[in-house]
Amino acid sequence: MSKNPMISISDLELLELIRNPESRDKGFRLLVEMYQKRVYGIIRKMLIIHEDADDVTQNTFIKAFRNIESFHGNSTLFTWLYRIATNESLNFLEKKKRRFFFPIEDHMEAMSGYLDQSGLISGEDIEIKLQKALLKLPDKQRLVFNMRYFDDLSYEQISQITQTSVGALKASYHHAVKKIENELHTD
Amino acid sequence: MKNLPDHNVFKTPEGYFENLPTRILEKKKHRKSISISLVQMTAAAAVVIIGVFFFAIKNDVNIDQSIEANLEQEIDLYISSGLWEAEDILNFSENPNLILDEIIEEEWGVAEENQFGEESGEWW
Repeated sequence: MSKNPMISISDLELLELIRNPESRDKGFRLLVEMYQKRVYGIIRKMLIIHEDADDVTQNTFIKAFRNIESFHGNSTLFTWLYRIATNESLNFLEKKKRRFFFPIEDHMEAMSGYLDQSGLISGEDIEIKLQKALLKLPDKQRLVFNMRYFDDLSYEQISQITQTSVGALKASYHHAVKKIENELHTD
Repeated sequence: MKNLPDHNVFKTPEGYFENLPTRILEKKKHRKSISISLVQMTAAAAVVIIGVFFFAIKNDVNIDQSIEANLEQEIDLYISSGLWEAEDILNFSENPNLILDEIIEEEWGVAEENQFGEESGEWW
């Protein structure tokens, strides 16, 4: 396998472990251990509810295992996993929207209620208010905001993950910030 | 926005990340075995469907043949018991004229044969 400058040494080692049938399970376990917190983090910020985030995190890694052969090293493993995680999160929310007996408004309320009541949420009032204001943004705008504001990713990284131009991402983030500021000031 | 704290408000249950890799690997194996058994079940179902299909075709032919034989026996019974007359049988037929022609030809044929035989006997 030719050395690709886009892949870090640990990514290369991981891929070699995964591609060898004898060490495949060990490689998969290492992959999860290395990226689980970051993958879960982006999913949880989108889905709010731990049980939903847990399901989608597991599905993200299973999907990654199944499609590992299609990873050619054009990006880092982290970017590739992040892209699967964001797609899975957006698909999850889209499915909730399409459910006739459980429309998105109800799910928004469920997420908002979770922020108030769950023992797995811990923060100051202003932080909870910020999360509730974020819930009012369109899903993709919220995703861009989360990646930029909380995960501190560069626009170039977000561009690779979302396959969107840097200009469009900057505009999206700018609009999101304006909306959140308005929302927090009216409260 | 700059004054807002950006620390993570989302917590996980105790030991969540310690157990997650094992849970994911177990789920992966479980799904693999489900997909394998799904393939096996589909193959088994296909074999059963094909078997039933051929059995049904074969039985259908047998059923058709036995129905035809029973029907002929029944008709013979109605005729021999005098329940049905020759006209009744002709009325049931789709093309009574054809049957009549066949009967006439058969009868005439025999009669002509007999006649010619007789006559030819005379001639011979």
